[in-house]
Amino acid sequence: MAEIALAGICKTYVARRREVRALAPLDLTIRDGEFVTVLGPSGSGKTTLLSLIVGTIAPSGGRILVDGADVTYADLRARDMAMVFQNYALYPAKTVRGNLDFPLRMRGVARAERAPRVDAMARLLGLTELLDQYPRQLSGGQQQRVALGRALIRRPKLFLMDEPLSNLDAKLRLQMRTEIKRLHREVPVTTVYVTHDQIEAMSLSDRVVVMNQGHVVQVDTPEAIYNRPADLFVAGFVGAPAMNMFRVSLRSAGGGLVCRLDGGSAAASLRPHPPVAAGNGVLGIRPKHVEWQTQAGPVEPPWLGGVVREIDDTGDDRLIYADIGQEPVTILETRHRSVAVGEPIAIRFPEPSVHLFVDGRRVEAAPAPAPADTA
Amino acid sequence: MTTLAEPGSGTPAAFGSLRLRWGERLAGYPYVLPAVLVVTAVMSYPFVYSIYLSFRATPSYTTRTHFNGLANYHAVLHDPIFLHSLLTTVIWTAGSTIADLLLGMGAALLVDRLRWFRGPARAALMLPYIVGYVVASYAWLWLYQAEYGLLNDLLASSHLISRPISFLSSLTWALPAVMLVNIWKTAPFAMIMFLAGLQAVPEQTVLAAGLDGASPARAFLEVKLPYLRRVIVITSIVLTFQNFNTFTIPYIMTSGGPLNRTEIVSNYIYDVAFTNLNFGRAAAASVVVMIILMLFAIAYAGSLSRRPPGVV
Amino acid sequence: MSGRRWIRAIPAKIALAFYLLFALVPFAWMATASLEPQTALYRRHVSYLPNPFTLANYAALLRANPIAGTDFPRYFLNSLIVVCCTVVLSLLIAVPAAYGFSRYRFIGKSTLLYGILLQSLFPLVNFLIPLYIVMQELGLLDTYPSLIIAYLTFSMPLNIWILKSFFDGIPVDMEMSARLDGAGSFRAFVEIAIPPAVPGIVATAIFTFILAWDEYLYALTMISNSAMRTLPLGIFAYFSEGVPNWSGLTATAIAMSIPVIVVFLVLQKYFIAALSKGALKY
Repeated sequence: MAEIALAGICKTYVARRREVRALAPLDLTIRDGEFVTVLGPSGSGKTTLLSLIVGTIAPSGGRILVDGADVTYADLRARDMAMVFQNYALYPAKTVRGNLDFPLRMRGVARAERAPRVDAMARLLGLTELLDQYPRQLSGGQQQRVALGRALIRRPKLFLMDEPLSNLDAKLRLQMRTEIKRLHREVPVTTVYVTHDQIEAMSLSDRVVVMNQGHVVQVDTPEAIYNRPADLFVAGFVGAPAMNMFRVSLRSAGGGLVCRLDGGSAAASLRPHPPVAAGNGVLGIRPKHVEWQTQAGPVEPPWLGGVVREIDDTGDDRLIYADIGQEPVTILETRHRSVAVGEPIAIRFPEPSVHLFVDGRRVEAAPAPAPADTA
Repeated sequence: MTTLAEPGSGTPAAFGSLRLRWGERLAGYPYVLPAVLVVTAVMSYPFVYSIYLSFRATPSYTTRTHFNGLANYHAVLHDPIFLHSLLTTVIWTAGSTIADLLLGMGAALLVDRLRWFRGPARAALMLPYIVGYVVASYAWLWLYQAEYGLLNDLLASSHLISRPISFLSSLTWALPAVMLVNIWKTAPFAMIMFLAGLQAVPEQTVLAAGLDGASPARAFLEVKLPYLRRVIVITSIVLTFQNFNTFTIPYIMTSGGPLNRTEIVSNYIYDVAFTNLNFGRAAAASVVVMIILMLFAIAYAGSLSRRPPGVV
Repeated sequence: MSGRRWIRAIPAKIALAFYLLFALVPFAWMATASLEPQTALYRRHVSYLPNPFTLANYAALLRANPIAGTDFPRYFLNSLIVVCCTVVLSLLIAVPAAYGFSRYRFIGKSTLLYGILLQSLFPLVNFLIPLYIVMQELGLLDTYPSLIIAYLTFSMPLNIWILKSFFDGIPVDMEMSARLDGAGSFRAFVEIAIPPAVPGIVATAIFTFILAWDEYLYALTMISNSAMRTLPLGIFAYFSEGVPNWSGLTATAIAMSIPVIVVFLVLQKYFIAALSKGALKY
């Protein structure tokens, strides 16, 4: 367990005389025992970052410090890190016991001490009956648990996980997620978890590092990432179904900034601080925050008129796809009010739930007290 | 229209098992018939004919043969030269195969870590295998040459010997010398097989071993080697038979001498057949050899099919 | 790479250098001899570079030398004909056979397959004696067919085994859809299955070429007419003089290697794929 510091770590590749920036310089400090998730789509640089930390590739610049010691170019073995892989990477010719025992044996732990530690780890992970089996005889979830055990058994300074749940089916993924959470409570190793699955990131982490195209976009708690996404990318990446986004024109009126959709209707009236000049921006609202009601006849502000295009009933929830003029809107409906395709509805974006983005970045904005103008 | 039956071993079964209608049962035969006929004519017929010949006396002055029971076998099995050649062949086979495996594995491990140089290195190391036994024999004949050969020259310049050694006429050195040529020629095959096998070792598992603290040697022995088990077994089998059945190298380089020290069974059979012109006895010897080889094959077949859970 | 890592790689680099030396020195040594005039070879101390340099030995190859009994152009032609015919004939028979073994189930399939494999384990001498007798009776000694037919003893099992593993690796799906579309079995084979198998076919051809080019035993036995000799036999003529003609011999050996080396270098990828696939699919 240790504190990890990344200072200016970056990686550039040269391909056909052009420089390809796989990872822009980043600074990050991970506290002792913290669970940090690196979240991003493929190509975002998260795998590169992981490889740099583990030591399979050397950085183009910057340093990696583990408890103050510089391990930037250190040998794999010297880093005292452990890793869990997407396809488990268990030793096929060894039993579960052999797999768990291996790291201890390689570090020179005495035989008398190894056996009880193996048993203890097996008990922690529920593997006691499987100790004499070979990886080939185990299910995916069991194999993953052995991989976890093998990584944790030597109490490494840093615990890395590379999309460990991607190979499991949905149900198993949920189980293992809980398992990982539990493990981290019992054995609080400093952990870096890499994934493209934002649900895993939200559920497991103390902090999330969101990456896109080699850059770190936001480092924050899951709650902050969800409720105060730093930019359009984070806003669109986190949360499913994805946040609704509308291009809006911004004009001052009355006590606030009025955001108008392309069709001209006023979607929201806000008071951003620091203040924002008139111009264009993007208005975002999560599907579950959109208010709606059936409405025959004309619609009055602050409501907007829309027509239901498609309904997707998934049993637990219902997704309503509607159009406001030309703009598509996705609404997450949990209360099972009935509505039919083609029916006109009234839609409203409550100001407290709305996100305003100017030049791609989020701007803090409070609801404006004055009513929207009727122009 | 005949439907494709469940494809042969190794292909993913397409429709599961279809019940074969009468026509479908025959669908495969036309494809394999020419090959089967050819193999029967060129291999099976000679095989059977050999057995037939082995029981007949074959005087060299006439093509007529007559049955003489086990006389040929008796002569062969009591011929000290034959028995000696068997022993030599065993030494030759075991020595060459083991050396091939070791050298091949070493080369594969070294080449595997190369990036840019990998292609040229691999091609260069394969050259001995490509040019064939004949060129190999002559190349090393020249190398081993007593007066003008490279080897003697090197040994003389480093003052290890005072007079040139004629390796191929030496009773002690002849067999190792020709074996070296065989190893030189066949080891690249092992290298290629092991290179392919190493490609199949999952990188992440080796990485995990490194993280776990394994030294490169330990990682090789405990993690990589299990993945290589199958390819090692197969390569050993192929090499064993290939080495056992060599003819060219001893024939060209030493003609089996000196004093039959380098004579292996193929040479013996050839000599009996074409120098002594005794086909019957030669056939008997070849049948004996075939029996030995078949026993080997049966033993090996067993080791390939077993697959306990801990074996990759 | 950081300094420490580079230094630790040095023993490996040295080992690799030794391997390369071991593999290449015999060739280099032969090349040196072939580029020196014959008189220069008989010196007290050897030189590693050709000194004096001459191409006379190679030039001599191009002319037939009736006195010495060597006729490189003729031998080259013989080898070329025999080997090419062997390759073509083997492929013609083995490709359908491999396909049949790969795709179809029929009675006796395993027996046939393993029978072929088993017979390939025997030394060539075993087939040689009966084949020789038969060739003699048919009057085919000293002809191309005698060798081409004899070479089938090693080319057939090899070709079938390697090609079968290539066909096994090609998914049946495309042929399946072709058959459902109404194509006959043979049509599906030729138009759908063969194209993806071409790399495998090329690789097998190379392998057969290399083996047949080097073949010595059958040639030695079947051919006594010096005009019909193949290259492996042709080299031996340089030994028949009292003192071996090393310069001629080395030049011949190198000249003989060049076609095979060229074929290999150009088509390396296919060849190596064949080697590994052929045996790994046991």
